Amino acid sequence: MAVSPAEGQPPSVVAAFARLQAQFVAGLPQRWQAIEAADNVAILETALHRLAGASASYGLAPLGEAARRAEALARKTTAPGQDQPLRQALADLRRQIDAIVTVR
Amino acid sequence: MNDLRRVMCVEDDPDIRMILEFSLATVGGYEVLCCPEGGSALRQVADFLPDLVLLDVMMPGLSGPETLVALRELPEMRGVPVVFMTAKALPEELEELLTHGATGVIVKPFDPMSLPTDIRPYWEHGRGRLAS
Repeated sequence: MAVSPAEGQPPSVVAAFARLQAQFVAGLPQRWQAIEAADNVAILETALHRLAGASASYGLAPLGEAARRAEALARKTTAPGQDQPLRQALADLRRQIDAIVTVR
Repeated sequence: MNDLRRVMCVEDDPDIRMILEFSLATVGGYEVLCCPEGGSALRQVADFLPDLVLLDVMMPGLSGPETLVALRELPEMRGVPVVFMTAKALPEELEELLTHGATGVIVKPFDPMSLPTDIRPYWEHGRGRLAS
């Protein structure tokens, strides 16, 4: 699920990246809580935007894509709690986060 | 002859600051200063004297474009290329960012292994253009 863009690099670089990746993954539940707790569209968009912008750099491209899809839907909505496509996209994002955190 | 040695990053997300530092310092061998917001960058430019600045666009307080305007007023920033970093990727969004006077735009997410090489063309082209 999580790949290392550091493959093929010297062992010290691979090890350093692995530590950073583990730290990022450990912070994913907190990022999800911020997304779930967002009480307006602007806050939700920002939280999703930040997750989308960081995930692939940490070797978690599918997670970043899921966040981007949700962000794109959030931009179009005025009522996030009632927007079915957005709710589905957020549910997908939640499943991805759970899968990543569980594996770790 | 000046080489690209010192890179200043201005980024409010701590996870992105960490991967930037890893990429540019550990992988790229640059001397790196990561600032969490525009005001911090403005205060530290004179001491750090960056050869290139990577500047996040969406930040609380001073935005990336606002920080760029303020940086350009500093004598230490004369001839120093500034590259925006953003997760926005639509062509019209990227074009709009360039109108603020940045040398280029790097779209997030970036590859931490290639970023140290990817920034060099911005430094090579940007400093020549800014110095003239």
